[in-house]
Amino acid sequence: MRRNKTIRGDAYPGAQSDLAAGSYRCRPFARAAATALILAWAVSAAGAKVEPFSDSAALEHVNGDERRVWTQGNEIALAIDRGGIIYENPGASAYVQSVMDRLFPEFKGSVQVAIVKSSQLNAFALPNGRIYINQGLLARLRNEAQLATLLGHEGTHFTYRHGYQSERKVKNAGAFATFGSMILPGAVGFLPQLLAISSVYGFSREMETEADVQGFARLQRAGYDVHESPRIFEHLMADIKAEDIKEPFFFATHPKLADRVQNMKKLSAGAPYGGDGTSDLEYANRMAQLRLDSLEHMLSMGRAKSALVMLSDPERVPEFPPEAQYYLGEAYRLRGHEGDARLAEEAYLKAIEVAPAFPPSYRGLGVLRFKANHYTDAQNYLDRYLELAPDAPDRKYVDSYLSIARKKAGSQP
Amino acid sequence: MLSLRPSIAFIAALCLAGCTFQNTALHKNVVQQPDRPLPHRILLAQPDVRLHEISAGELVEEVDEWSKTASAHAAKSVEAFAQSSGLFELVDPAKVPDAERIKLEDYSALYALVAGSAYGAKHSMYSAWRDRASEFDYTLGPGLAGIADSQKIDAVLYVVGTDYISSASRKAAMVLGFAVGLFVGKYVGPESRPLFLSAGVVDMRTGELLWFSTEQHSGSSDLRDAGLMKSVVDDLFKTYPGADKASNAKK
Amino acid sequence: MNRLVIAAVLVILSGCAFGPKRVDSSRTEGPDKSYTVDLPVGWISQVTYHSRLLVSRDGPPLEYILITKTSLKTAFPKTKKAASETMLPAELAELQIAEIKSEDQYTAALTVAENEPAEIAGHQGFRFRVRYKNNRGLEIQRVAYGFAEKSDYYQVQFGAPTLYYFDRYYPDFQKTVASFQLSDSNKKTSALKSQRLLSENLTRSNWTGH
Repeated sequence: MRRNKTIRGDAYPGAQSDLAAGSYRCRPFARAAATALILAWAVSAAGAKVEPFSDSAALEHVNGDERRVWTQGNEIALAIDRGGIIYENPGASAYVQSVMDRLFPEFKGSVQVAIVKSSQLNAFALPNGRIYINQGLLARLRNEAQLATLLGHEGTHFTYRHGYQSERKVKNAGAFATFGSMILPGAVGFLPQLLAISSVYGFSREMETEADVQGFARLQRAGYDVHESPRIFEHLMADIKAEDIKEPFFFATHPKLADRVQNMKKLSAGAPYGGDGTSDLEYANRMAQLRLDSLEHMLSMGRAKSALVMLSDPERVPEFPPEAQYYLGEAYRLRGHEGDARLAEEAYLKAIEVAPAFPPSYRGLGVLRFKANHYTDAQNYLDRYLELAPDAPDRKYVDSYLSIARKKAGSQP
Repeated sequence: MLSLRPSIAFIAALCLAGCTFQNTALHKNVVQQPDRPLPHRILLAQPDVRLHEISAGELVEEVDEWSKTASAHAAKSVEAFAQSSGLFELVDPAKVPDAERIKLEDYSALYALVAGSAYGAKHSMYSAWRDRASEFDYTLGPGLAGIADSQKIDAVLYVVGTDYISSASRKAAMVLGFAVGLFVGKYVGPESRPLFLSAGVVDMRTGELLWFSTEQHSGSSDLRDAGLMKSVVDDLFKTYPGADKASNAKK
Repeated sequence: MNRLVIAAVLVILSGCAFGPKRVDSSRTEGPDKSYTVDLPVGWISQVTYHSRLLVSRDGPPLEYILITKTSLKTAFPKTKKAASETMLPAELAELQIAEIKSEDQYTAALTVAENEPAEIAGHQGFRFRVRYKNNRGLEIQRVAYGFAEKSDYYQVQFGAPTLYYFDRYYPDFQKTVASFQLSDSNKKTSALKSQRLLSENLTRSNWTGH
């Protein structure tokens, strides 16, 4: 948003003094003008009500300003498609889309969900009906009902035309601010700008709440267990605390997470228990590969703490494929706190026990042993790694360790 | 998000209304070999002229219909120049097979980097970069030579541009800005944003950026106007090799 | 042309710590004199923030060589990971790749084409090559060599679009890497290190972490 342009009195000598004197003399006028502006802001901020889309057929009538907003969405979607950041997993993608279609049956084919190759906790809806959810966020969910909570929220942003409404309000608020700053001199001039900023944030939160409430209604209508809806935010709070994030991007303009937990609890307070989508195991089976890929991606970006939140909860272990033990070892290794090397070793050993054909566990253990100068052990594990993965991408590193380990082992008593 | 605005605003600040900056460069091989035959069959890549509306609150929105209109005007204006000057024959990209068109799109993305770098170097505040740009040997490489041979095309012409059109409320703010400015001795309204248009011809066999022309035009503008687009394109192509002779011959 | 590219080029080329200058003689000393290196003659070199040496022929979006020296503790600001002298080259490479991935949503989706041990300036280090696409779908590649010397981390990086520019200027980058040497005051230490190579680092336990 454009900053307030203070009227500078540098056009001629003495201009500053004249302006100061003028603003004092004009104070009664300034007060009246400010009142008028505030009233005008209240009117502009309210705006004409925008009705939600009723179904896919309604989308054909999008035109004018809203069509422009869709165009921006199309540009973003094109950049995302071209940028190679879509996670390619037909099974997971089809599953997520099927949940969206169950929530919004009258929009089937119009609201399209894609998974983004990112371990961040993020999801967003474009005004044109494209919804993007990060791999990392999907991996943290426990069951289909939680997924439906998320999709219900994002889908509502689209069906309630929040993208278009936000754009309109920012435009109006900004115009108000620009005019205001020109008309009112001195200290009063900044007021319209502040009002404009607060109205933008205020409306954004309202829309988020609307998305929570209407999304919740969709959840109920589709037959999901609504008592899962607060839990998605509880999981996310745990992750945020682990990574020491202030508030993740997804929630930048959202009400605080703690407030959202409370809101969801209130909404679900009177609702009957039971309903679909509560099987953690079913979700785990469908998302097995996505979770492993997400862990891989998370660790490749150095996010060891987030991985530990997911993997060090014994209750959650059955939800992950056995190979996840290796990633637990990697998370400890990368975190590198006091005692983490021992924990990493335990996790690698467990991974070898439960998934003996998974090569990276042997490498993990081999490198740990190598760094601890246990060269014979290191050789054994690293040799086994290369037996299982002869074309391993890090073969050259492993060969260099083996070369040193063989020399050292030979010279050890 | 970064935009062209900083550079354009800086240049626009030098004069408030109605200034034009035109800039042309020829590949050093074209300069050193004046008898080198210029491309005859040139494929016009889809012009990419983006029009934006700016509101009084400085919200910038690209308007798809306007961009399509302006891009279509740009294509027509270039076609008109080609016909009237007889300097080259335009090839319709629709006639290129799909597989080769995909490759052309990849090279469009590379062109964006090459032209952007050439422009940035020419306008750098550092003489080292300006000197480097004056050598002007920018290229996209010979990767399009296969298409050139199979489709019998000599070069690709790229037209890229931007324009900003003030909304009614912004225009009102500008008028008000002038009015207030009369009292305080300085314009205090929203800044104007210049129109920017560029054209580049790339030899498909060598990849050389043979000719590169840019025009900035501050003050009120609207590239939805076919007449204005033609005028700007004609200005751009005034420096095309042989254009002055073709123009004199017509006279 | 891409407005983002123009603005990026103008920012890069206009906001530097020391003004850009043409490379006239190939042997160049680093900004803090801790290393010397051969740079391609005719390219433009400039010292940017934190004494990074940036060299390019046609402009950084088309090709660049970037040479940096940082403290191991602060070498990875985006991921906020502290490296240590006892780290294996593979571990340093892992941190550097994570750092590149953290730049934006496009690099976050990069693929690692190669990652292997390499010697640079007599030190055991790493070499990797990654590829990713920009917002117009153009593939970009980067190659990085890196190593640790006492508490410092040196990196020599090359980046260019795959189309034409990467293959065209990669040989210039390879010559730069081959010529990279620590300065005389660091050479005694580096000579000792090169004799002992990797195994010397590994006699110290890193069980206590970094």
